[in-house]
Amino acid sequence: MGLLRALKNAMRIRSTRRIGRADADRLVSGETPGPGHRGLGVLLDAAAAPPSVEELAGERAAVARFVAAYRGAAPVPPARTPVRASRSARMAAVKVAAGVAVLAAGGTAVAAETGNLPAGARQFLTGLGVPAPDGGPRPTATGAGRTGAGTAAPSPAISAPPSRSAAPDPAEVWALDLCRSWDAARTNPHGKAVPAETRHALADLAGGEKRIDDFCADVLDASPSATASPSASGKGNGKDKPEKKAKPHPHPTPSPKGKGKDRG
Amino acid sequence: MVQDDDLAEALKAAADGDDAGFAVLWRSLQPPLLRYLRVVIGDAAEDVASETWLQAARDLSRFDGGPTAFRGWLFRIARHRAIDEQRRAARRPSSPVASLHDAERSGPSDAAADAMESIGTAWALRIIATLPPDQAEAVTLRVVAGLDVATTAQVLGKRPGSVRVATMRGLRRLAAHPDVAAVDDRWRRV
Repeated sequence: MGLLRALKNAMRIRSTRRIGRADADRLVSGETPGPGHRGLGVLLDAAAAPPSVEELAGERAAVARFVAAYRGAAPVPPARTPVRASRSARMAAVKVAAGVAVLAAGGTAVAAETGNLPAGARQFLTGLGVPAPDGGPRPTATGAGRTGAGTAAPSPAISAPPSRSAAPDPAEVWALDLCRSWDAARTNPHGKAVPAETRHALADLAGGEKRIDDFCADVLDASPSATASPSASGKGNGKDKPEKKAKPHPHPTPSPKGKGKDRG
Repeated sequence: MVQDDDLAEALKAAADGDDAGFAVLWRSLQPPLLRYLRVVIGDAAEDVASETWLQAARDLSRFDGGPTAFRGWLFRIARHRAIDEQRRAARRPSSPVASLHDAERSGPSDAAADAMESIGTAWALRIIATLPPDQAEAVTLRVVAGLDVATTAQVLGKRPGSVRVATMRGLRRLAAHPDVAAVDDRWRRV
């Protein structure tokens, strides 16, 4: 009796579980699987679910790093030979990077009107030109593939409408922003880790990951509003912090060859 | 996924140094990139994704292919970076890749969050990561990243035929995974 049931079970499993190449293609393309593969369908849908907020965190930092890397405005320092830049030089770098982030957020108007950017940064920004404001709706459409995989979520950082009101220096705000989240994560070991993009952006500006603590201490100290921030508690104390791992950046680069083969 | 026309436009703009174009690329491809790296290299995924974008940013001006080629290019950079990271981790005798990140996240576990995670993207990726590496990569690139067979083959340095076979075997194995079979059973009882 037991043997018969086992045999039946085995046969059922055989008949419903065997996935052929054609089945695989259909499953990959997001087709609803047959009755025997519901679980697999659930798994594949979950793996390709629309992006979460966490996955899209760090966009601003990523874009700022792109601009810096692309234009060589703030070249990523080789981790082995960090040069300790003066505070003012580093703040200038922050302002350039932040200005760029502001560009992304809605045009140069904000940055220019604050009047707080150093002349060099202002020249740099002018040199970039003003990106045209959005001509139309953002591409948010979902394309081929399963259930909205990779759907572009609206981004608060980029789609923010241009604001012409003179806010506090966005450069300072941006640097403070980064440093506060850094500080908050550092002082709360049970909290969330700092997003990698934030950490790397700070490392770029500070001249290495080991210098972020000092850098942020400076930034938080220099901020007039720092005292108002509960998260700025660790300011001015740049020593005996738990050091994050310092990671050497330079790698051999896989060449961008084979790129022309765009056969679909 | 952002449609190819839009992505092509963004790609062109980004190759000329336009930050808004780059942002479109990033928003569209960071999530699948992270998921692929999560499967391949676990907790180091965020760091490796960040390195990948940085390298892409540096080399983008020299890139002149279309969106499909760009996806393949980006994922190939990611794969190389992940391999580098694995080598680095292997050279660090006392600190495997996971240890630092585990320490960072060793807060009290949140029961509600655990329940939310029971069937979700993290759950799915964890199961996919149990596959043999070639199958795990093929399945992730095809299903999560939405790459076609030819592009996946380029990323992995394999023939298209072996990509299809690895994908099929991976799916078979996933279907037989106890956690997945449990979901099947739940369906059957309904």
